[in-house]
Amino acid sequence: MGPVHTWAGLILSGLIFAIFWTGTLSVFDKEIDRWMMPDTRINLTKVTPSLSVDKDIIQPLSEQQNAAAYWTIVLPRERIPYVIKAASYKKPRRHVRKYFHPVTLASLTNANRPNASNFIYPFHHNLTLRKDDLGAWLVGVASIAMLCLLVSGIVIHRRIFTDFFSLRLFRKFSRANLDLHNLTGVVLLPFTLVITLSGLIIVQQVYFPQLISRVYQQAISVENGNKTANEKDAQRLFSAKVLGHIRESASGEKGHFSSIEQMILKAELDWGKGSVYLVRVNHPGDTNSSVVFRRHSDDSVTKSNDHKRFNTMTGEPKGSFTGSQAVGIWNFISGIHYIQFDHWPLRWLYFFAGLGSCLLIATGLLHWTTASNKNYLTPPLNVALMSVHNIAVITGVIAATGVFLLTNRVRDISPYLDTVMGDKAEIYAFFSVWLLSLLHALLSVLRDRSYGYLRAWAQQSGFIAVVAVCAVILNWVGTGDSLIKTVFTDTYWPVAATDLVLLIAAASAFWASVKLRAHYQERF
Amino acid sequence: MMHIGLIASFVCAYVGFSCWAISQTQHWRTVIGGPFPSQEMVRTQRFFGMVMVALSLIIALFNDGFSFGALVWVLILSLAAILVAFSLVWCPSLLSYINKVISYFYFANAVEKTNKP
Repeated sequence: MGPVHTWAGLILSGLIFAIFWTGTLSVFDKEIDRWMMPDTRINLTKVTPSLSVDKDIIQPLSEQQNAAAYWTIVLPRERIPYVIKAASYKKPRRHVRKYFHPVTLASLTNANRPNASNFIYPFHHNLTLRKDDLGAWLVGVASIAMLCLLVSGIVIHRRIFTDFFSLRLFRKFSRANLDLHNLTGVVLLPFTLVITLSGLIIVQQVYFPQLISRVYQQAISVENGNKTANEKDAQRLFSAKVLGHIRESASGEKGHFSSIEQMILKAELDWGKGSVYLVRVNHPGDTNSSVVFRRHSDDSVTKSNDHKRFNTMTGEPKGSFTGSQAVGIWNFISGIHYIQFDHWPLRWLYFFAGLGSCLLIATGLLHWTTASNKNYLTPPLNVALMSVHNIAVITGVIAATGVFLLTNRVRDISPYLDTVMGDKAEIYAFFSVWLLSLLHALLSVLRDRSYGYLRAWAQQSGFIAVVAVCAVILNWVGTGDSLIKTVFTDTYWPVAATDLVLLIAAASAFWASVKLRAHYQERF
Repeated sequence: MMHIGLIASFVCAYVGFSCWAISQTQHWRTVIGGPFPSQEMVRTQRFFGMVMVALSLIIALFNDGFSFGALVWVLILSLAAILVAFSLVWCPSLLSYINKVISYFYFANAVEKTNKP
């Protein structure tokens, strides 16, 4: 088990750290979005939208986009405080998504920029390598490695109970580091195990693409005695039974809309007031059109896919879907991982557990280099390169995230800068800084193989501190949302908490930088 | 109200883990000092720790329902255990106060007895 722990850790811990880091940030992805998209900083506890779905949403849509295959409308809620209108077309296949202020109904043109929801969160599950699901496969391999690391770690940790609370922080660095690694490993084991396993389970369709088709092909064959049930039918049966999807074709005749608000009221009689968050209109403007309502899952861990279907023209119910118990278990597992419920203390606990897991991975990486370094005055090339790897994946990804946020604020300073930097400036900045961090670490270690790594750690920690403080200042300058305003005078926690977390990160990085610099200077 | 239940659940978990930590030789030395107590007392202390952790689960379940409560409890346990480990480093006196209170109620001044020469 020792070699498994060492080698799985050495090869894949860098990737695992990046996945856990972005996953931890994704716990508050919507709040980071508010910070990155000032137009959408709308406090729904203070501003109550008097939104009429029929007049303000359906009517403009029906005037503009009548040829769409379906419309998707997301109604404003606490964490997504704006209206999303999306229209999907079949020929040619495209999807147009627009964002609107829930009170003024003004178009929010900047809401589609790179942010936590469309960059940090996708990075967490596919590393933004979408071609042939390459990223999802790499994340899958890393998750399996994480499971191996957790199990092998517990097996090789001989004194689990004796050293359960042992944390010898004031002994030498290697002892304190290993104690932190052991403590976070044992104490956070339920979290790391469940989050890794649920992450693997919810994307099983990527890893076993034929699984659903085979199972449902078999079911059709048994039912009909037909041995040549095709994959398409199997997928349709799966969608109907598990997701409640019903395929309806358009009649081609022009129809009209009954009041969708009245239908929402009918749906909410069963589900409770304010529970409908998504409205989908299939074949809008056709006599065979239907409206589907989905309920939110704020009040339960389970991520519900229950829905109700109405006839668009008459407003009469056409049916409803409630998942089976097996679907419920699946939804519970995905709910544990997706964290879409409305429970702020639990969300913070997830965030801290995520940070603890990052600490576990980082201390594990540091343990190997520290233990290998002590045998040599000048470490061999493999140990030196591992030090470079550690710096690039730990401080590198943290610095890259900081610059990702900072670039977003810089774009807002002037429209000229925004035009020059382009639409994906944040993403380019993220990857550039990550690459520069690797080069910086490599140069530092090659210049001074004995202690260059300490210098690189110190400098990159200092850089993180500067970037985080600059991000907070630029947010204040660019939007006028200072911490005093967002905490005291006009309280808005998504922005205030992001600023506060950035300042805490800056303070920690500065402290680490000062300590590391002192440690480096002691050597000379 | 929800937050009071959460805090109560956390406090119970923290006290429960403190009992377990103090019942270990190395932490007994850090927190209390003097000779290590009898096996019987260690067992009682660990049992009390178990009761407190169980109480933390009950409070979490009553406060948040089964699905939320179970998740909250697991994460509260992790947080409480880490904080007990850090308390042993930075403020062992806090754990010694907790031990005094527990000793007063459950061990009939057992600490003083065991510390007698």
